Amino acid sequence: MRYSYLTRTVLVVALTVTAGLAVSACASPRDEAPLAGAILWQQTCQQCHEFRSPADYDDQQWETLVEHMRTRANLPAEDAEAILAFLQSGN
Amino acid sequence: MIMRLHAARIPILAAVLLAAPPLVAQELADELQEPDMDQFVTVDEFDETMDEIDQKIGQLEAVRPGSRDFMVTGYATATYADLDGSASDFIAGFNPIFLFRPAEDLLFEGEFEFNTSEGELNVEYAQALWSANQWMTVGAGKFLSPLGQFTERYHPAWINPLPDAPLFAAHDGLVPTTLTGAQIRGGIRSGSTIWKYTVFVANDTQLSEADEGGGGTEGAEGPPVGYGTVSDLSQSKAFGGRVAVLPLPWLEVGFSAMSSSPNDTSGAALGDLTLYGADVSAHRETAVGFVRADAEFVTLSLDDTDTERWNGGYLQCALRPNFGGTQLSDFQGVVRYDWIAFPTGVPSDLEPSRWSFGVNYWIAESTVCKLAVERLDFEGEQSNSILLQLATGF
Repeated sequence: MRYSYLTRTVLVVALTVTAGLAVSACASPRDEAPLAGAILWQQTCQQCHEFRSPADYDDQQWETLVEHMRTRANLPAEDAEAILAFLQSGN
Repeated sequence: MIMRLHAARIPILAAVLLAAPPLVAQELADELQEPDMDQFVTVDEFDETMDEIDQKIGQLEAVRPGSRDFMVTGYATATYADLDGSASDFIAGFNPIFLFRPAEDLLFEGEFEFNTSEGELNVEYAQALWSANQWMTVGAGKFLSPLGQFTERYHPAWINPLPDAPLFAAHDGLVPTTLTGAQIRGGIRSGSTIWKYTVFVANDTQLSEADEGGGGTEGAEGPPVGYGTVSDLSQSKAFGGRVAVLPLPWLEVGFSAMSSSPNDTSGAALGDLTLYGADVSAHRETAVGFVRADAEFVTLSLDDTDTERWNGGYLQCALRPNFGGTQLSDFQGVVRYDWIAFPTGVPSDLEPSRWSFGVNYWIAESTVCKLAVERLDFEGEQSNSILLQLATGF
């Protein structure tokens, strides 16, 4: 019984990985430009909560908060950096 | 006149200098001399000097104790709960989160929970995080369980669209709220797809074996309770993690697993606990408004037997309609179904299930007033609850 559940889990994870790669290959051009911070801010932060205005915090505070959020939401580092740059430019 | 007004910044500089660490402040102070007003021939020269002073003030602000990379954030709630068959209750909660970043790649974070219903101070989490590289962060301490999405990301009251947590994710539910140990986690972008991973090793869970009081519903035969113990009574450890993929920016699909060898409170082994979970969330702007659709399912077993298997989960959909930026856009509707199922042999009417309907009004970007009506099916009876909650994130 133990192996049947383990097998099922591995299969589900493998299928997810395959599906993700397939969608990724279809959806993204090879030389895709990095997404702008404003777009990433809109796409990423709203996955969990309402927007916080860039004016809510100063540059230093945004650095700390974005690092906190990067860890909590497992954000790719380049996305977190772009979001931080946007927030700091808008406050 | 203008020059004299601008020169008012010099006392500010002096005040900041006094508050800064002595050595650093002295070094910065040595670089600056109070400007002689007679030296300025043009307004541009004066402005240039004032800009330099402003820069120095900024540098000093950055090194002043308490202002550099230390901040307090968090959330607070005030709740009124009217439950069928029991006394109504006012509950207040205050959850400050302390963040301290002494170096660029190091972050300490801790959340404390003050709640009048539990009457005690609880350390929700407290951990050190080291950003090892672009795709890996190493953490150690007490941390929120990364199993699924609700516990780690949606539980703060100003984020959760309903005033309470789903049954399976409550403090005595199927998923441990916190774990004490170490974790490695990160996110990787591959084109437009994002992969996320978290793996952890933690103190083994400590349980009261399948007795009453578990499952988030008092009196029911529930899952083991007592998750999240700080100390470890056994030599073994709990292992687990979550892997997730965002094939589209608004869609996240995740799978979680945990293996543990729990003990009861006396240290006696209770067998092998295996937990699997799956979660899906889709949050996106649509023609009718912003939609949040979430689903999570968890199954756990002792010794991988179906006779000792619990499962639970929730389905939730929230809509914040788009009424062209009018005040009606500040309203949000939400509906949720959540449940817990018990092992074979437990009468099905002992298994709690619940429908929740809510209307929220967003007073500000992180402040919401929630009104929810909940209908719980349990022990063959139906009971209704009304919950009113004001929640704010700060």
